[in-house]
Amino acid sequence: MKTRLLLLTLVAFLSLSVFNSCKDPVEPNPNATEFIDNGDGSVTIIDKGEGVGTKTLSADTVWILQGLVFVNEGQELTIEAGTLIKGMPGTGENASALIVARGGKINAVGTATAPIVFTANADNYEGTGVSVDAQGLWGGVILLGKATTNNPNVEKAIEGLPTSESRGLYGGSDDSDNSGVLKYVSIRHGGTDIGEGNEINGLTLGAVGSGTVIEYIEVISNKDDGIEFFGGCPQLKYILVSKVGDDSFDYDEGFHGKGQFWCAIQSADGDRLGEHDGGPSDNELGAPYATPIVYNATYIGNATGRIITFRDNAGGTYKNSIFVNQAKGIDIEYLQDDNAAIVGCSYKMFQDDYLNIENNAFYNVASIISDTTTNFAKSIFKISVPEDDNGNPLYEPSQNLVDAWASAFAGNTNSILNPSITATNPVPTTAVAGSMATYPATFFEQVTYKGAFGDNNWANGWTLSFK
Amino acid sequence: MKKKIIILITALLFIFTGLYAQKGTVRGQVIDESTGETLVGATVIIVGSNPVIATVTDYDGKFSLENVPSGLQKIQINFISYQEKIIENFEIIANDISILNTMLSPIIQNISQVVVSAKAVKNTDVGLLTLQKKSVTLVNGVSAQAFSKMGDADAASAIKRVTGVSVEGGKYVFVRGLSDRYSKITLNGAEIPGLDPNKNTVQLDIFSTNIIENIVVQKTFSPDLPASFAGGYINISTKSFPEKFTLLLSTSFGYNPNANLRNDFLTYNGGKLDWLGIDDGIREIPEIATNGVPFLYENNDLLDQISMSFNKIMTPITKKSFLNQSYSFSIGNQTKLFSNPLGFIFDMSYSKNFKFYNDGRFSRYNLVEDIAASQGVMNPLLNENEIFSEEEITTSALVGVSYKFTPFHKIGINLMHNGGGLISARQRQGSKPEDNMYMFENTLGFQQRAFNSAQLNGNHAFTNKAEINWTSSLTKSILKEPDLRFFNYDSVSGGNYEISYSAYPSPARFFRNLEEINLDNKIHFTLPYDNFKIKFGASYTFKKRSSISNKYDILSQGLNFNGNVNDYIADENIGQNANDATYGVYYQIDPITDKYNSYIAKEHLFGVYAIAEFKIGNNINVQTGLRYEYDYIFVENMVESYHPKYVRAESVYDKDILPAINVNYSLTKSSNFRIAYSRTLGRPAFREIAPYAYYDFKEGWRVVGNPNLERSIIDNFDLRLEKFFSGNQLVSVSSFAKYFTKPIELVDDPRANNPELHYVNADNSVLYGLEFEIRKNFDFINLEDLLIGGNFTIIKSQVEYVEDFGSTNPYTISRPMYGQSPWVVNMFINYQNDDLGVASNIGFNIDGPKLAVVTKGSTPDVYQQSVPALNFNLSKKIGKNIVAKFSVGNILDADYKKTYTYDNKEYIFQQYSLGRTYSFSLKYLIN
Repeated sequence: MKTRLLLLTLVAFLSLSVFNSCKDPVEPNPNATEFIDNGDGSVTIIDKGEGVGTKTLSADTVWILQGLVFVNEGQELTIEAGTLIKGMPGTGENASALIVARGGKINAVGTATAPIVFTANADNYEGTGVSVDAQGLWGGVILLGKATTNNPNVEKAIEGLPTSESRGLYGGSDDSDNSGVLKYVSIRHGGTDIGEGNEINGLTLGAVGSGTVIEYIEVISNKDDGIEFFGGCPQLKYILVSKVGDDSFDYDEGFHGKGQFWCAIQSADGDRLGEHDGGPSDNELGAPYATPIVYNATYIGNATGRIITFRDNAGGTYKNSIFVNQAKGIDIEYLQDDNAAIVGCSYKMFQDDYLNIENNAFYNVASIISDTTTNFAKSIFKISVPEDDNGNPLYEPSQNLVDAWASAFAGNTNSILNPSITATNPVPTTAVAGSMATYPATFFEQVTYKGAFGDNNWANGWTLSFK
Repeated sequence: MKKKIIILITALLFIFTGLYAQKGTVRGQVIDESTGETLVGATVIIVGSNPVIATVTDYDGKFSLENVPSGLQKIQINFISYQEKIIENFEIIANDISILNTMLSPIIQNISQVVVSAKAVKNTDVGLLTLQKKSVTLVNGVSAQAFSKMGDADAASAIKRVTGVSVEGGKYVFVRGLSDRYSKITLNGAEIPGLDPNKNTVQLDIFSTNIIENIVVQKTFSPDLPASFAGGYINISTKSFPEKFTLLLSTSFGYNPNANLRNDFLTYNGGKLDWLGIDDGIREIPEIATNGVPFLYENNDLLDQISMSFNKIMTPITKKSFLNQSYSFSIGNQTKLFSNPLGFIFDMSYSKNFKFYNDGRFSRYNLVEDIAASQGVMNPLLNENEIFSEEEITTSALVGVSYKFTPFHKIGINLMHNGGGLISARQRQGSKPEDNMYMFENTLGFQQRAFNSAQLNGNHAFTNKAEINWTSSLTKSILKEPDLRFFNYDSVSGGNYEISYSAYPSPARFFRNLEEINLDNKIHFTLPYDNFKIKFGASYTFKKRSSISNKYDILSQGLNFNGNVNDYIADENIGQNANDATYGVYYQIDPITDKYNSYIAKEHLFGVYAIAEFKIGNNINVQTGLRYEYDYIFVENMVESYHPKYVRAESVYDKDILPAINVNYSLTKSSNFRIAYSRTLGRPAFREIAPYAYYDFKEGWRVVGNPNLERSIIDNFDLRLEKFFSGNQLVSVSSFAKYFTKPIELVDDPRANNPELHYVNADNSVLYGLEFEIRKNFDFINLEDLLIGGNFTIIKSQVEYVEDFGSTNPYTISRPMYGQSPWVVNMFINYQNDDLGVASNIGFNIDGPKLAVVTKGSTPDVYQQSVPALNFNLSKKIGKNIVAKFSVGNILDADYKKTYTYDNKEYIFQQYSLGRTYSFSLKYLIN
């Protein structure tokens, strides 16, 4: 071995041979998107840089996403009602997902009888190809817009994508931005790792503007969050998130949109029903603040997690909503400086009236089923503080602050009330009414009940959850 | 193979050593006192011998006189225009070899003869000091003798003793505060491969001090050196063959109460060759998985088969650790083949050391800051305790043979192996407040490194004193990291455990393989004239590297986790076997495994140079010259060239003409004033020019290569004033300044969601500093045996970089250069009494806080805090051949700490302590 090495050395030295290393890649247009007809009624889409183009995906064909498929700026993708779109398995750079880039538009309008279905390659339109609980089999759907966020930099790359993929950037200054329409769309079994250990959300909305229409959406069995908002101000109605692996509704980076009729149903492995962050960790206190307004939510827990966490300076409003069956209630983060003076945090947002939990019904949250239980409000409305190296609280908020937050429960006309709903039937037998908060003039439907459902289930028929 | 070599060499040695009878031999070297260079062709005569016993010094200034009658002899050395030297009463021992190293001075003021009594040069430090004194360029070094005094076991710990040098992460050398990017490391003058997939730099800790003669750091450029350095050019010289028969056997045992003989030492069951630091294949990817792993629902039967084929060891066990141990053996001789000198050396060593701590802290914070109110809070994100253990195995072997065809033509061969393994286990647990969870992390690691080198070199001198030196070297390095295992989970309230895939990386196994070959050829010509000397030469270096990574995530669909990892991954819980899950445990391929993320890289580097060396008057030595370098770097990933993810990048740097001037003004015979200017380069590493983003999951960040990256140009200015005294004493002061045009820096892109580092060319940066070095003995109170010394370096650097990242607010970086210590201090006290055979040493080393992690946003950057290190060594010679030594390492047992500092308060990023080590060694030496 050594002698061979030596001989090699000798030969090499004497000849000073020049090593050839040139290779010429030849390919006419390496960036053209491929639509490969598989001959079985399906077409595989591979986006090498040029996006899908302005195109209609018809319902008579099964469309298979291989890798990240973008609707580039200036392109409009139409998806017919009843269309089945499948994502190939894969992770990281190989993850399959549909991404509507800034300036691109999607026009995906299904119907209650012919919804548009996004699912795993192994699944089918009826949803019987894989176990209903299977998660992370493909990516998800991502909409990116030009609305505002509170990121320190106006532009940001959506999680999992490097900044070198410019189509993955979101953020701008147009809060009325329009990314198109998503209606009667069911997104199933997504949530693969899209890179750097980030699982993709069922529906990701990055700086999406209020011009976008998002109604009648189901996200089921996603490995990460159901819907995650990164800033922006989209307005969403009739949303059902079930069986997801992490949080059902998650927001961050100054989300300031609107929502009505949001239903979240947890299975055993879900984390929070609502994880609400104000700003990114490198700019928690930036503007615009996270101040979304949600009416008529129904959040059904798995009896081990938490209803909502507000932290990193998150504000937000929940009114006329129902929260049931969860081990922990709503906690808001409190931070103070060395002089024990409050600094920017969700508690400060509560003090400044950016965080409102009003006219909601709670039942079996933190084991509270009666408003006669001592300190029941303190059990549901909690304050979280940072911990030291040994896991002990660094400090305790003063009793005044604890009391002020707890008394907001009754003060804001929240109540303990059994709506008689379950994970399998989120529709109360009789609509839950009484002491309703008034609705803002625009966007919201002026209904007379609390929660996402009155007495009929709008998710019936077109979702996998309620087939 | 190795065994045969030992037998052969040993046999040869005894045959040749047996040839001398009743008479003795004297060997040695003659050096020009004014330049430190060897004198070729000096005559050496035993005065009064009949027939005359005489010879001339060869190419190396070396001579050998055989068959000299034993007893006291008078030896005379002559060289034209030099003072004749006569050594009186030099003892020749029958059947033995005596060593005589001496210097001649040029004739000045009619002194033509010097008579001295015999005293051999023993101290190799003196040799290095002479080099430091006489070299035209700025040189510092550390010798084998110093390693052994300080008890430094590898090159990385030894080089810390050199003025202005610090070592990062126990591996990477920083010279004058400049990161490893700006250090160039060669082995016997030849380029050698690095072992880091993301850098081109050499990890110094792989070199055992056992096979090293000295390490010399050249801080100014001269055109005969490769130009890609700015801080220092570091050359490791391996041992050359001895003047006479030498045999060395040594062993040592060390005990650190924190690490050795502990019942709670963490480890895991590995392979049969773990003790050699080699994986026997047990950690390799199972055969069935090498062709890929189907995704869930693609082929569940095959998927389950693959998932069951990986071994089940994912968490550490405890096992009693043994003592630190090391063994080494070395044999060498000089003899004759066809009546010409043949020298050889064979050396091998093995060591195993244990490292353990259970007091580690591992935390992460972010800053919640209200800029308007200028108040903020460091908010904890993660608080964990850490237990860590590591077994480090180091092996080395060296075979060197050198033959002088004539006194003026020499050819040498060096075959060398350095290698070793690191077996590690880590457990962390603690709170992750952000997610209201208590985390458990388990990591099992194995790292195998090998570095094999074959070098051929020749030295030729001619009658007109012209010289040709050449070297050709082929080196292959290998880094294998098979089956690095991670298993993270958390507990929620009430002792329920879960694996939260969205909160932290899922359980996984990682495999990495890096190989690099370097072929380096150099030739140097020297043409002496009356008053000046011309040097010129050429070099060609070829490098080729391949880097392959694989990663497999371990997932499940709704499988309950009870807190016991072994239960979780048991066969009955794999895939379709699992009863109570949507789908049991299965493996999923991670895109790191994609060929897209593996790469091949090549470099061709040609260099030519010319140097003139001349004197101005009697006292000024000038060396000046130019070097031209042509460099071609090529990198491509391993997908087919028509694939959309095919990435290739190449850079040609063909306009680099690099001047240098070094001036040495001898103020007196023993003091110099030096001034130097040179221009050098900083080239990007292979991966840095590859235009794609890759995720370094070990560091937890993404790195984006930049094909437009330019090489940096560095203008170096140096001044030094130095004074030498008798017996190893000196004082010196240096100052330096370096201006970087387009330095390569890593910056975080604020648009990225997670840390995403980009290589950019900053506009410019500057670095400047001062160095002091002193060595003083206590002869003024008649304590010549006591020597104290130290060196101190102060450095300041500043990088400025502005980029807008698409927004209206420019993003400005203004900070010290990464990894740069603002100051470095080394001190020692040596006591050496040869009559008593006693030597003792105390060494102290510390450097200032340096930037370790650049954080995102306004959170303060993380600094590595100073770690004072104090070591003590005491050795005693017992009889003629045995040396016993006692050492205490890391006496202060200071904490290793990386911290954030906010509002004058320290927040731990990582902290641990390693404990004191007490060791005892025995050495049996014949020479």
